[in-house]
Amino acid sequence: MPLLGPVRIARLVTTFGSARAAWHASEAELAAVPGIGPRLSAHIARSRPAVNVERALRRAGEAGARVTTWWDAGYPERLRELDDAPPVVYLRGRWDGTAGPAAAIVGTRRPSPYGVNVARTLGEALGRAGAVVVSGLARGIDRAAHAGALREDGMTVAVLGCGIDVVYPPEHRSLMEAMLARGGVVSEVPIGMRPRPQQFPPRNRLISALAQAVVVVEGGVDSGSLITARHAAAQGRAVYAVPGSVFSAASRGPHHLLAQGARLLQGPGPLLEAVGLAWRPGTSGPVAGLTDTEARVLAVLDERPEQIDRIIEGTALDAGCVAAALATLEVRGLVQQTPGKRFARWSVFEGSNRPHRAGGVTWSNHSSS
Amino acid sequence: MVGVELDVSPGLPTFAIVGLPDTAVREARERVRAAVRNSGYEMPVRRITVNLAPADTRKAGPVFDLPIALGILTATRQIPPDALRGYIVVGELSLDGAVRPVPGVLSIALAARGPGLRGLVVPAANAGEAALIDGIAVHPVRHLSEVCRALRGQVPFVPFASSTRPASAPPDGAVDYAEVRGQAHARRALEIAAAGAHNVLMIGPPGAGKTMLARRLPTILPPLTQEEAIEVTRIYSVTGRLRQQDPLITVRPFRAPHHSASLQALVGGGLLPRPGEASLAHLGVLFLDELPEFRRDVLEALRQPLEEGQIAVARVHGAAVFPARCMLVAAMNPCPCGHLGDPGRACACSPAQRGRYLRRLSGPLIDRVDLHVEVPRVGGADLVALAPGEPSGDVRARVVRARAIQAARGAGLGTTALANGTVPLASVRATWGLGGDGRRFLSRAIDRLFLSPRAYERIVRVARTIADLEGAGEIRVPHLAEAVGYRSLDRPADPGGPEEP
Repeated sequence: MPLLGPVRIARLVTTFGSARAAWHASEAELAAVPGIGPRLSAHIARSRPAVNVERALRRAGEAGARVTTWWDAGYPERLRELDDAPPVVYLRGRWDGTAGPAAAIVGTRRPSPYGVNVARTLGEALGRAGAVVVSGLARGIDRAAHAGALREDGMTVAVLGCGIDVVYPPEHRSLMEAMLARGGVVSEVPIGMRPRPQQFPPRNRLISALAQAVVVVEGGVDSGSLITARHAAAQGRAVYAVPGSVFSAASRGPHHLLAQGARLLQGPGPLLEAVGLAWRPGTSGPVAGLTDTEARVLAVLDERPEQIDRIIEGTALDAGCVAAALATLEVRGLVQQTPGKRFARWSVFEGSNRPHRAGGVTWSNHSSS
Repeated sequence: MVGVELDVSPGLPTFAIVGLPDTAVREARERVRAAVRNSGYEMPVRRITVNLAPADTRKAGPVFDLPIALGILTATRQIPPDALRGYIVVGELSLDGAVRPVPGVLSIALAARGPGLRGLVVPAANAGEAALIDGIAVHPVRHLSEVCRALRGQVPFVPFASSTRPASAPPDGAVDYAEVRGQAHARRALEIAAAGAHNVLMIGPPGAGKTMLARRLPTILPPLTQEEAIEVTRIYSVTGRLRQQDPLITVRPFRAPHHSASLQALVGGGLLPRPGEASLAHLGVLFLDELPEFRRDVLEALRQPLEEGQIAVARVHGAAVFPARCMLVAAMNPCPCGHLGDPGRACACSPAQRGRYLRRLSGPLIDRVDLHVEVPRVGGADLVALAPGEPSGDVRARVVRARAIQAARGAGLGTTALANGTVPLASVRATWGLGGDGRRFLSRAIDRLFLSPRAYERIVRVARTIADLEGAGEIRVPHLAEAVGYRSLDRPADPGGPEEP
């Protein structure tokens, strides 16, 4: 219902004792509540008949969604403490809303291959360590982060900007289905609601709220990721930013955050420490058990995407062998494919990645807030 | 087969043609009248009725001119009454009595075979076509008077000499894969497509060479057998597109209709059904460039030919079934601006624009495409530096071997004529030897790369062809892995994004 935000709804329910009582309260009773007044109560009385609560609940049931309110036990624990906690939250999947170790990975929908690499590798590290990876199921960084967690059989949760039964973007259907088995999706938007631009900024506050720490991988200076970072700071979450190339437009957002005092993230170690876990390198050695062909193909690849015809020339193998090797390497998670049939090697974090505690020197021109 | 019956009786001089003639048939009256007179024969001043039997099907075109004229001459005893018995006659007349060529003679010749046939009288220009069918005496004629003299026994019919047919000479403007430089990946994909008769979609920026690659695909397909050549020639005969010299089509057809093509143009139709581009591409390649620009209903009409290998066209004035077992080769840009994935140029499209562009593709059609091939633009410097590619003949030899393996596998199932791309799904499951390792790899790949589940069957089909090219009995993991690489459109759009040069 427009004009009624989470705060006013909470006040109504508290005043009348239950949501049901508030829903059935007369216009005069509503008008007596502080902060509501005659105009808003008239508006509520007018719009009330158009809302069919039973039908909405039935549709949610059909979509396999659980409907929880702020007053219910199944309501996500970390959202409860928000000032503007959504009164109703829709949940799908295995994730039960408990406040375990969780980090959010956010960023642009149009990342560079570097950004995808970082997001996925962080998602893997978190998933392997047992932290929940929270993001927004968008294209680009979000997708890479969710996919990384799934690769390591980790838990991952997406906060949607549309109804929980709507798949947006549509090509992420299989990703979302995989997530339902290994995590879940959350939305405060009513069931069946199409994605609309104004629904996305508010959902960003839920992404940061569900996590203990938020990482911005890539994004512009006026991107949604920075909104998420601001929410995170306001909610008392740790904010990390991943550095990038100074020539890359996609790294301006994180660099801007770093200038404002966000924490520099150079590996998964500090992030895991922030959520109370320790970093473990990947269990399966990254290049163990490759065939000769696969090893030869991998040897000519680096972080810069290379077109498949060049790889064929570079390895002097025949086209079929190279195509098969690249697909196998991609399935094994050693190689990333970008449009135009170009392939790059995934970079991995090396060493222990502990935060540097050398300390000692304070630069006189240090000016962060 | 249409019978021409004629009655010449006393009465007011009229000349009527009945039996659902179209305008061209009806106008035969004027052509016949002039041709008979100008050939030195007499046109009777009596009541002439021509009946084209069976009376309830539409007759079209000028093929009946010559039979009608001969009928009149027989009825007026200018030709002996029994002279025409056992002959089948077709031909258009010009006003001076010359016999002009008509379309569809090959089909007529096929239908004419049988006992009691003394000969097939055809326009000289169509004789080569008719002579492709064994066991028929073909009598080429140039002029009405020549036919009459022969029927009156004054001179014998000149038998057609089929000496002019050179053994599969290369056609003009022949193309070869050797002319394609670079593009190793795309060449390999098209070799697989040819080996398994898989439909292909090429995705690449403008100027990448998609058309060049597609045009050369017929040169690596197995050569047409004699029966196949006649099947193709028949379709071209019906549409009147045969060369007079050497009419037999021995090269697999390549048809590239423009994206503005209408439904009729593509699948066939018209008042009297005529074959469309899909049938003209029968046993060859149907190339649809700029696939998303084609009208949706037009593309969806291609479903039947792609599935059944034929098209049923039903119209008020008759129905026809045309063969249309063609390989579909489609091409498109990777995004509306065309530069996605091109390292040399930045793509200016938003994900939403790209999504809209991809959604323009017809789902039912795309579901029948086995290979998605990304074709890069090859830079000018590279073009000069790269060596010429492998010639078509060498590739074709491998394709022929792979097809032979498929035919042998199909022998037990009665599907010898079908390849891995077209064989029914049931026999796929039963006989394709997908082991446990392969199954595990495939489900892992689908999970990890978030491929849509519909990709599964397509991947197995392509993997089977890759195994056949290698001569392997079982489908092994590398075969499946390569096949997974040809499913670009099944993956969620991945980042293009800005990059350092």
